[in-house]
Parts: sequence; structure tokens; C-alpha cells
Amino acid sequence: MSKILEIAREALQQMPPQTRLRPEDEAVIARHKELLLSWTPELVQGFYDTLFAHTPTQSVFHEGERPAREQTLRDWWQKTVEGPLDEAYFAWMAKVGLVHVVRGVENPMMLAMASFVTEFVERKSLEAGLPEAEALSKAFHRLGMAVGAVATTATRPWPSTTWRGWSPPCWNVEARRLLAELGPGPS
Amino acid sequence: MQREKLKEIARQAIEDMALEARFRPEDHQVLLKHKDSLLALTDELVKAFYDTLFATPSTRKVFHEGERPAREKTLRDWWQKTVEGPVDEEYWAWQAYVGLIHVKREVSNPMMLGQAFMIEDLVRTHLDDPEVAGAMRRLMATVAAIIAYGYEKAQLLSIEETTGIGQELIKTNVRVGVEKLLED
Repeated sequence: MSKILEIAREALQQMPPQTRLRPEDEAVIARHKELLLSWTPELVQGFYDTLFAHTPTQSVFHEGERPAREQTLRDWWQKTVEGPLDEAYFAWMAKVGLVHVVRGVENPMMLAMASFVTEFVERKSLEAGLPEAEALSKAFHRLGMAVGAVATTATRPWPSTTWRGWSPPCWNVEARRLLAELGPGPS
Repeated sequence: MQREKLKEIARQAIEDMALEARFRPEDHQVLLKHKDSLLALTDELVKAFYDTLFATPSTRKVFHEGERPAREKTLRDWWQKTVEGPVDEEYWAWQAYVGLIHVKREVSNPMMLGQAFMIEDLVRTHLDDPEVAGAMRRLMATVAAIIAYGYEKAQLLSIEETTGIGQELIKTNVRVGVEKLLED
């Protein structure tokens, strides 16, 4: 099994089953395929306008890179809407997480944009007066969390630690020490 | 000094977020407006949250025997403080602290994000109000971003403190490793 597939599988399995993407979520997305695809230009425009309007996220991009990144998002949206949202799809999302590491995209940036997409679908569904607006919004909410779970798992600093024989339990021991230093929580 | 470190982690996470997705002061006004209805959900929220965690082997094993009442109290306190406020720098620093606790207790980001979904979904199911929906979305996105960032920072700090390798060097090391992985 490829390492990337392994990351995706591990992340999804760690999510409590009640919170995962379900077959009925995929089904409601499939039922709205044409409409969702018709929203592509607006989504892509809004997504990158948002990223380029914010200094920390704008600084991720090279000069003149926007058209290429817009195409990447267009491809992602198409694959997401057309499905299948299977292991190969989530392995791709793990790969996106790894690309984020290389490009210096921090997890808060990614989670914020996952929320942006969820909000976009909800707003458009309500504006369109879709009878299944709620189910469709919830499907994208679950999907956004699953993508976030996979991508944040991929961005753990594990490659370097693997090289040095480190593993999460070692972090755990160190985290205990750090917490002891910090004393009781701010609550 | 250490408290300042937590505030800095939270500040950094929030600054990285696009403005549209961040929790805003007016979102807290919305929560306050619905304070009684939101606090009335406490028992159900706490029960659903821990029933879910205890029903799943991967999350159940996070807990020690007999620990549930203490953890329920923590969530109850979190919900009350979230609704009543103030949602200020101290509040966000507390969320960064949760990220550190999660490393200690081996609570992964997928587990945390699943539960963030659960809380938002439960509130929205009970309070069918677009204002509340928007406020809850931005609240949970911001909380999740800070916890995930705190979790990552705790790992980096741990490696730095033990190996003496600086965080920037670790990050470079990770980037090189990831580039190699992407080529495979």
C-alpha cells in the first residue's frame, strides 16, 4: 500500500463513524451534479479572491501563478462533484496535504478554506431554493471535515521523525514535559 | 512567558485564517442573543459528544477507566465559557492549550475535526437560524484551526527541545522529506 493511501486511510478511520462522509452524502452530491458544476466559476473566483486578499495566504503564491492554481481547484471541484469519493480520492487529498507542506500552507489556512467551501455550498443551495439544501450543505460539511482530517494528518512532521527513529509516542513524552512546564491551563 | 507562548500560537493560527472564515465579535453577540437556548443544549451536547467517543474504539482508548465524568465537566465548562464569553485572547490561548493536551493524550486531528463537526451539527439541528449557523461555523473553524496549529507546534517544540534542532530546520527537513515522498 502506498504511504499516501496509508495516511488517508488512517485519518478517516480515526474519525468517529458518526462524523464521517456517508453514502447518502455522496448520493445527494451526485443528484446535484449539474448544478454544482455550474457554480464552478463563482467558487473558483471567490476562493482565490479570498486567498489573494489576505497577506499570509497571498504570500504562498508565486507571481503569475493564479491561473494554474485556479485550474487545480477547478479539477478538484469537478472530481469532488463527479465522484467517486473513494480511497483514491482521499489519497489525493493526503497528497494535497503534502503539497501544502512543501508550499508552506499552514493548517489554519487550509481549514479556513474548507469552511469557505462549506459556506459557499450552503449559501448557493439556499439561494437556489433547493428542496435538499440542508442535506447537500451537510454533505459538504462532512466532506470538508474529512478532507481536513486527511490533509492535517499528512502535514504532521512525520517524515523527518521517521528518519530519526522518532514516532508519535516520543512526542507524547515530550508534550507531557512541556505541559508540566506550562502548569494548569488558561481556563 | 509560557502563557504568552500559547497566546502567540493562537494569534498566529487566527492570522493565517482568511477573514471570512474567522470568528468575529459580532458572532459572539449572536451566541449571546441565543444564550439560553444554547446553554439548554448543554446536557444533550455533552452526552452525544462522549457517547460518540466511547462508541468508537480509536477514540475510546484515549480515556482512562472512570475518567468520563471529569471529561464531561471539561466540555460543559468549555461550552459555557464559549457561549457566555468573553471570547478573547485568553479564550483562544486556552484552545491552543487544548492542542497541546491532544498531543499528550494522543487525540489526533481527525478525531478532533470529527467532534468539531458533531458540535456544530448538533447546534444547527436544534437552532434553525442562519445567524447561529454562520456564527457556529466560524467558531468551530477557528477553534479547530487553533487546536490543529497548537498540536503541530507542540510536536515541533518537542522535537526541538529534545534534539536541539531548530524548528525552521525541522520544517526544512520535513519539506525535503515530503518532496522525496511526492516523487515516489
